[in-house]
Amino acid sequence: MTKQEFDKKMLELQRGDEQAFEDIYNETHRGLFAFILSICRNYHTAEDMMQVAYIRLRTTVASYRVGSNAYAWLYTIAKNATLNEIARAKREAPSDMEEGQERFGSYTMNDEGAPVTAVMNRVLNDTERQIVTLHVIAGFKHREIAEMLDKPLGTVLWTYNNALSKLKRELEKEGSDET
Amino acid sequence: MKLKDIEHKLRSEQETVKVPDMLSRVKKAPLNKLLSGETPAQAFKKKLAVRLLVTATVLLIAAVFCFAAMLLFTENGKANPHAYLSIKTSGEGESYAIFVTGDLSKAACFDERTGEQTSFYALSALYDLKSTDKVEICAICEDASLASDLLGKLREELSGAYAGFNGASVTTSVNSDSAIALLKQKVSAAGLSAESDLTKLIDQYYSVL
Repeated sequence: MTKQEFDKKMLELQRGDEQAFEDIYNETHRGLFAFILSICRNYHTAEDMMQVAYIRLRTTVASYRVGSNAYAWLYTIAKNATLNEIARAKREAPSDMEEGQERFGSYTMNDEGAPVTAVMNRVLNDTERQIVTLHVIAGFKHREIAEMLDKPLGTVLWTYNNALSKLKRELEKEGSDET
Repeated sequence: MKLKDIEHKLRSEQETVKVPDMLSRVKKAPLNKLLSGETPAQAFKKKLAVRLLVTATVLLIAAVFCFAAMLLFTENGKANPHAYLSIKTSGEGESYAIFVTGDLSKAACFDERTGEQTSFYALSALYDLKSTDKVEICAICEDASLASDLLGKLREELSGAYAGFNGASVTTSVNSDSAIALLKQKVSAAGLSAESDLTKLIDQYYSVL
């Protein structure tokens, strides 16, 4: 779905067209889920945050200005909801909890059968993971990612290439270790 | 390994990730409760608070209505009075009519000259009574003993409320012919045919004053 088509769907949703919501959902849910997962790295939290994001999309769609970037709008809603949830979990976490557990919960990401994803989760930092996810999985252009994350295009390009290089090094290292 | 291969592998791995079906859940979500993404617990608390507020408001309104009805019943004398007492003072030439209910509580007090309702404790002619002034009080009631009883109570109240009352010359009467004739005259003057039954006569006068 192009930006213009997405914009049209948003306009239809503003007019109360339920089918438009389904079309938007079908177009965005996989990329959005991967993006949320790249931030919180907990399947259940990502599930909840995806629900929150789509509910907010429906309830605040009237405030969307047609002509602005609807993809960026939806992803920003999801990102803010997830970061808020992480901050809330951190505040409420017991002090003796292991580092990172308050953020990721007790659920362990199942990366079995997904070696590249496992390495990505292990070696890349938050920003790198988000940029790689947005480009490779959600299919956004670097310019769009820069707009979404409010970062200069050069920074996004450099971070992306650096992240892939890190992944390559780590994967090659693992490959040589196995042999 | 090329960077393109990494991108390709990553993409194909992500395609195997099971994405939860949120569409049906979001569609089923009671949006009225979950507006702006609030949790069901928050929505429940809000709903409970609204219910309590509505209940409290309804109870408050009912209480206000009951209170107003009681006030109307006792102060404005909407219940039919059973006796009529008139007070006349010679000093200012003013007279007052006091209607009382069966339980001896005051029902209403009127200035007979103007027909306006007044407070029992604001009978202006009684404020500055002198020892030379005369006060006539007459009680009219179908039950003569009740009339005497009311007369006694009225004297007690007046002497308690107005300092000059005790020094003035006070005459009292119960169901005197002249007072009844005067009452009938007032009712007839209002265009009604005066009843001979005293309770009905009092009701008539009460309705026209």
